[in-house]
Amino acid sequence: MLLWGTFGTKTPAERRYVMRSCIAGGAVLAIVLFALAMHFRPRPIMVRIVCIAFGSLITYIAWEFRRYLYQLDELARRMQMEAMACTYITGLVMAAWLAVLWPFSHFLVHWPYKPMLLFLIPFLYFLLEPIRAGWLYYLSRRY
Amino acid sequence: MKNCLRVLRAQHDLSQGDLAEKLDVSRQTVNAIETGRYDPSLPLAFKIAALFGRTIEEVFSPNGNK
Repeated sequence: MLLWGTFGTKTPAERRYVMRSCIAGGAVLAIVLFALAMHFRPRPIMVRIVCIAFGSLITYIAWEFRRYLYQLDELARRMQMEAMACTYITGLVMAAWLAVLWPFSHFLVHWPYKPMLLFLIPFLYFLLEPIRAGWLYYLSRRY
Repeated sequence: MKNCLRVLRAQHDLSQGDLAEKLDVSRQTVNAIETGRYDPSLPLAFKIAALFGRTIEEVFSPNGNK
């Protein structure tokens, strides 16, 4: 969502989306900086606050993105939808290949047993964003 | 699907931007329709036809006949 094709500021809808997302991002950044300054103490509460704030930020941006999507004209919306569909298919193919490659990699065989690495799993979703941006670029050149 | 949008636009002395504004779409959409890379939705096709005082069949043709 933060990549090319989504964060343009040509139309009022785009500007509104950018503005609100930036304000929400800034608020979460302020919370994270405050938590860092406090060395995440009191320990369990501050960590939970940061995690909830980050989750809320992504949820809010996704909600705003949905509103922005419905304000686009039909070709732009179609491109966004096609890009998301192509990203979904790409994700499925990548997941399939990961499953195929799984037994061949020493690291991959052992990584689920390393608890710290489990924290990386949510961030794998963010890998799909550059892929979506790539599809969006390709589709925008096609039309 | 073929269309004579470019001809109609020229007859009415409209730029792609002007037409886009009248249709409430982006200029890219008008360009994509004109070049045949994008087929508009039925509501947009009706809007285009009404704007030029034509029927949809006069503006768009499935077999390439203008």
